[in-house]
Amino acid sequence: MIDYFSVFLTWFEYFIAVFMLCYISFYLVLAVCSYLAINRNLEEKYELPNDVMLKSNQVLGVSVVAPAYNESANIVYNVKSLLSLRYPKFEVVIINDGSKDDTLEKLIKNFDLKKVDFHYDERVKTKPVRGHYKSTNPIYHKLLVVDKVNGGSKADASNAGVNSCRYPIFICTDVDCILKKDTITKLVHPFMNEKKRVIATGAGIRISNSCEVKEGSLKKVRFPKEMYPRFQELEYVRAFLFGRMAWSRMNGLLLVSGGLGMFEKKTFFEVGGYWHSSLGEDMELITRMRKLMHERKEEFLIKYIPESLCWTEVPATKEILIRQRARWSRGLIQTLKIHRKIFFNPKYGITGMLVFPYFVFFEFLVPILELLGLIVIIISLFILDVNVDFLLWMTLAIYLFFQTITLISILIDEFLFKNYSSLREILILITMSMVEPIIYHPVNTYAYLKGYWLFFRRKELKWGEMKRQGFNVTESNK
Amino acid sequence: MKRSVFFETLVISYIVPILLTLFLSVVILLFLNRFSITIKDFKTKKAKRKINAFLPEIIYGGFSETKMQNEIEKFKRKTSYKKFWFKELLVNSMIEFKTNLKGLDNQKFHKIYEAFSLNKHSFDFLTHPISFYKKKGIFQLQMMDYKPAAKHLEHYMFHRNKKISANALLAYIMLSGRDISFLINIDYELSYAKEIEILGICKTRKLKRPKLLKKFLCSENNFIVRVGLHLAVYYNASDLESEITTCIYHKNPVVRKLAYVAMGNLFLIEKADEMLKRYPEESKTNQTQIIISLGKIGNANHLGFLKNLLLESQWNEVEIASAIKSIDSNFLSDLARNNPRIDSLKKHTEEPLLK
Repeated sequence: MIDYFSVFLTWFEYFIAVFMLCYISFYLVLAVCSYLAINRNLEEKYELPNDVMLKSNQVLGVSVVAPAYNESANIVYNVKSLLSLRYPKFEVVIINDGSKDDTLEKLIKNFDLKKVDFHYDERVKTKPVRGHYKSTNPIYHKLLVVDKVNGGSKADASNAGVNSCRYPIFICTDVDCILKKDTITKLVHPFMNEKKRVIATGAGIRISNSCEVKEGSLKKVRFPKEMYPRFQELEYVRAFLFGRMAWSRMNGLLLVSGGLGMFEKKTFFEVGGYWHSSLGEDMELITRMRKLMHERKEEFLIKYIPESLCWTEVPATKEILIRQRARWSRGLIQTLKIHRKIFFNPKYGITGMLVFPYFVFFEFLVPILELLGLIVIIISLFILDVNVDFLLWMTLAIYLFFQTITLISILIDEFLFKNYSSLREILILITMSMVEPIIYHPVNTYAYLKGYWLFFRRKELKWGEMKRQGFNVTESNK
Repeated sequence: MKRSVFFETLVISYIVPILLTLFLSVVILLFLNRFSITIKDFKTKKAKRKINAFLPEIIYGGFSETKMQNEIEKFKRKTSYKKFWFKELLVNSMIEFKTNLKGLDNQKFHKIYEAFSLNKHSFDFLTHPISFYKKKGIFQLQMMDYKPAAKHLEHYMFHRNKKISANALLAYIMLSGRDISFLINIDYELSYAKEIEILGICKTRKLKRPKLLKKFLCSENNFIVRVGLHLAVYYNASDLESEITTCIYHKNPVVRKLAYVAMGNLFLIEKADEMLKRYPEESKTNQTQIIISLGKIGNANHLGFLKNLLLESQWNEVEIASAIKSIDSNFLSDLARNNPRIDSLKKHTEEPLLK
């Protein structure tokens, strides 16, 4: 028995060595691409639309689509915040997804809404729409409210919003997300400036848990106070600056966050909109869009902007975090399973040969390998004569590698955007980064494995409600 | 055995020390960077306060020439005005000021710009070997609306770096204020963003109609044709009817779309039939544009075509209904009778809040 295990262990070690080598090499490639992408973005600093263009009505029109479910507490401020975005040609489409509270009533009262005879063209099938509302107050002429029967998913509500919007490009966001005033300008810029067809753009998302918010607008960016949001801050900086910028450079983005993404409506309809049964509808949509473009052999771009344009509340407790991550992992595995024909299929270009395999090997497989590695180490410690010293040295090497990656991300963020306000915050970030592999990473891995387990056991796919803690409101908001 | 010793030596003696050094270097860099940000912040905040007090006073103070000169000299003595960072701060504050406030005396503003040698500061960027700084220089001169810079920018319009040439071109159009007929010589294509920026400059600067606008529409450069079509609408150039109509046969779909827009906006009524003939060959986007333009220049003869489209259409029905309504609203009412879908469309087009 021990002999069999020894043979298995030898092969497992070889496999892990090769796997880690590929993983680390890939990370280094991503680092280089990320550097190039950020550098190019910096170069474009003086190419952004200037004052003249921001006053032009020739710019591409943009619809901001934001579904709302039981958002009565903050809906008025949130909508006002969306309406205050700076761009010459946009509308805000709020979808009341069958809220059980008085979200719709508050909207009607505060924005002088009136039900209108709107011809609803159901390009993507959704739950029935009860009506459309427009404001009689000219100040709010950019607002359209869609009232529909609850469809049980953000995807269904977003589809109803896109069916109702008028402009050729739309932003999909959450109603409680706080967007920077120039979000539309920054996201739409690649659509107007690139020679190739741009089908989607995204930007960095940050954590709003401890930020100071006044009437739906961000007054002061504050570093999260709780432990889990702090870990997620680290995770977001790393993922956005290291991962997505690099993928953007390679034109291999497979994920534009549900919190903030801009899409071309034409392609969105051609792929059939968001899939309402998906648990990772944002990734699934981009996968389908990429697939379609490859099948048609059309050149396209999905671009990413390294700047943080959106602030959102993240889970503050372990339980909610696990629930959210388990859903993400089910979304990941569901998307990979449905679109498995892309895997190493040269017909799908970079998506099939690089992006999709990356997600299979380095996103989906990693939590499983981590668990397997842990089991193997524990058994080996009991039944074999393991070189514990070398094991610890190896662990230290891997720990230092990922620490360096995380800290480089923070350094880039500090260097470019100066999002943190003091040395204290930097110290906290470094400390969090050092304890992340011990405290946060196991929770995350557990959540992903739980998600896989639920997926394979075909447990009902259910949307978890995220308990919101609300923002630090300033006096006038109280 | 030998192999495992090799790996152990590699990891313990080389990889871990290298990674540890890298890790500690990044930590030190993070601290140093933060210290430099804190010190810089302190310095710039102090300087910014002084600039914010100085600029409104000198611009709105109603000072005579000599008094203004004295005030500038006084300010120079109080600040480290020769330092690069201070010049940058001052230029940025002036640009901010200029962008946010209306009715500024440009001459006075430029005197301040020159008194601090900020014009030289911006010109120096133009000769910088790194393209980022070249673009920065162009940006500063353009935002400062510094007209004497136009002649310096002229040769950058043909720079081998397309992004520099595009920025220089826009800055030149804005600062020179001259007839933009010279665009006909541009042999590179620019983005849609630049296209509408040119139009925006023509509008805000009230530039005269280019003498060679007609030639724009026949250019081999798609970008120039697109700019030409935008300008034809803005300058109400209905005399270019035949050139605009020729553009509906252009190989580039964006040019064709703009040509349909121009036909509608310039009310080229006689060309409606010719435009409609293009409908079956067009992309969906351009078909929708034809319908919109037909709403402006169509007549009763086109109602039959629109009716058939409306009865069959699955995707641009609101535009079709709007076009019918603008030609003959009674016709739409008749179609809506006994047809709930068209009735819904009719109500949509009649809803004033949806306009």
